[in-house]
Amino acid sequence: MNPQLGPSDIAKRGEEIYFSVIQQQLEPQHNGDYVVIEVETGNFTYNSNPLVALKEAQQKYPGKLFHVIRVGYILKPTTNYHNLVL
Amino acid sequence: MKGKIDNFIPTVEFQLYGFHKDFTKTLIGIVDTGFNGFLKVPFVEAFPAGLILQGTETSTIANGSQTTDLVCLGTVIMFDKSIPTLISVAPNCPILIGTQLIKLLGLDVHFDFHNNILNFTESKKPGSIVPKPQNKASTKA
Repeated sequence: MNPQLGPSDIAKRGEEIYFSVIQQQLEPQHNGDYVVIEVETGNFTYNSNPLVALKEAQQKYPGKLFHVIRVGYILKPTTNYHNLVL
Repeated sequence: MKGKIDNFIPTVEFQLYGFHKDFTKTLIGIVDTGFNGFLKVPFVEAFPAGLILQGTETSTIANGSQTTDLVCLGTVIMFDKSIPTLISVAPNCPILIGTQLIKLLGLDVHFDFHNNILNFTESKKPGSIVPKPQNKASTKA
């Protein structure tokens, strides 16, 4: 688990990593695929099947929480994380 | 394989569970053709069903706005088809069945507005399907 990171922290870091590193690597060739981001290392997995990408990430980083984005389907960092306030 | 259309809102019944089948919940979801995800449920349904938290996700919804939700792992059973899938979970939202889940279940859907029926048929090009496990009779001593 990421005990020091709350859901909004994971989402914010995940989006930062996506726009700074992943977007230019995967768009547009992999548009529609799902990328699963481990936000502490910045490493990621991707696949057209999100469960496959998630399973691969879980094997590399057991017990971690991840941020999931569908490649090419978000345009900008989120500004409101109200759905993640528990 | 049928659902209902009530006041132009198409709905269908399905079952959902997370870490154990004992927590299976029967729910009615709105078939939302503007939602290209899998399934979205509110907290009040997700927690009792025992969905397994995997993290967070950012997605874009039909009106173009962007949303960030918790994302969980669970199994959906619909029309005797069972499939593990990612599930978006939000504090307050209607239960939404996305187009990708319908594809994943290997189904096509037809909206019959004259009879207020939602007809599901086997797709000619089904998605990857995990057959529903056979129920084994169990007895307790």
